[in-house]
Amino acid sequence: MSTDSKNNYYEILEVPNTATQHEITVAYEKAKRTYSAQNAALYSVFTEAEASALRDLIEEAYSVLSNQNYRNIYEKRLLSKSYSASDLSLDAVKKASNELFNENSLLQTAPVDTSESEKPAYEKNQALETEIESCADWDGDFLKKVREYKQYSLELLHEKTKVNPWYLSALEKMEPENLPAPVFVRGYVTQFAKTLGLNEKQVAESYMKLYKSKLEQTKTK
Amino acid sequence: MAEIWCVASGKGGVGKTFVASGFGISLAKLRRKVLLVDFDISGANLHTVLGLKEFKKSIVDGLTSSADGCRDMIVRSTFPNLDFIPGFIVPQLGQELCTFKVDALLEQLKKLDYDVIIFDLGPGAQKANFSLMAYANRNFIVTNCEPTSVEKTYSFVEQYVAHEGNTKNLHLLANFCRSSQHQGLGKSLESVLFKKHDINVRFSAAIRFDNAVWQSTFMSTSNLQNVFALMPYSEVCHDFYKICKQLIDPSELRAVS
Repeated sequence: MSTDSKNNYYEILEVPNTATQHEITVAYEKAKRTYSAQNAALYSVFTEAEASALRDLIEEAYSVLSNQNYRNIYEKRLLSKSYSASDLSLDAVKKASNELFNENSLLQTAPVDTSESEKPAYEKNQALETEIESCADWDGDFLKKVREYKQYSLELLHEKTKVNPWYLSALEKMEPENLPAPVFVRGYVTQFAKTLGLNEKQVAESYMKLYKSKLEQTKTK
Repeated sequence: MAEIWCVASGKGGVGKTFVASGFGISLAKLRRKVLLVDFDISGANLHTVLGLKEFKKSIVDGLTSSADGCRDMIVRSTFPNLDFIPGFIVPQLGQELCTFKVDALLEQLKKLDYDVIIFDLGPGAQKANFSLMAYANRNFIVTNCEPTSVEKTYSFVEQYVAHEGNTKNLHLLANFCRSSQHQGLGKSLESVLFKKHDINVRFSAAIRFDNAVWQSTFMSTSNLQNVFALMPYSEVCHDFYKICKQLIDPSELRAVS
């Protein structure tokens, strides 16, 4: 496939090299229809093998010319006239485009967050563990105690639960004026408990009972 | 200065005479002065299409007689702005005569006050046809949509190139189109001729098959059985009108045709 012959991609699709992308698509559709197997126009001029080869050429031409990046590279190489036939092929153009992309790439590889799956290590205190299991009345202070026992800072808990640290501390202090509506509070407590490895349902229910009484107290004040 | 158009084909029966008369009538409707010439050396047909049963003088006289014989052969048709010259009633004369006298005839015709002179040629790649086509501003090759017709069209073009060496003014017309693929046949032929032989075709168009054409030949009340006279608003007449507008004045063609 030489650069001057009719195998230049523009000539295959019968478009000028100033054609717009839309014109190239229209020409490609037309060429595909023309060189399809059943077209009477091919009779006595092209054998089925020749027609099939032409169809492949048309596909190749379109893969290069329809892609703006490939087309720019192809055109530059074609105009410079110092490239061999193989440098103008689809594979060569694709390769050049990839190299260009890697050079100019602004993508930084994202740092892998290793702390995601890690839990903080803590010394097990058996007495406290039994207390946790038996506890039926969860209030803010006890939540704080368990949190500190499990070596979770508020920051770390925030990271894990995605809950605002302000709300987390307000949860522990049981301050309704610093927390949103009860339905959200319940959600936060659930997350809190889940992250700490507690039975979130039990914790949430008992906490909300205490919380709601506190809420009524602040309302009546 | 008159434009000269030739209507040729690779194969007989594709619709040359119909196309020639169609162009003539459409151009006349577009207020051009048109002269149709029946130059089919295998026999005269044009007079039938234009509703004339008998005639005294024909193209034979134009080729044999001296300079002034020209005006006598011209017959006014029933369509305004359209005149014609009947063709060879005795076929074998054509082959001998035309190779000598075509130049003189053309000189004569050009002096007359016509905008377009259309030659209806005979079928096939004949020397007589090629000699006329060499003078034409536009050469129309009519084809059908079947493989046999397409095959002969290619053969005709190849022989024309071999004879003339160039193909500047080729126009392709696909007649009897019955599907969208047929409508695209002209463009397909253009592409194939370019890829295989590096031939540039100047224009291509499709003329659809229309029942109105054969139906008008059954309207026996009229002497003239021409679809352009009897059913001028049929689709095929519209196709001709559109093609003529595109050819003579592309700038006049609006988006909705």
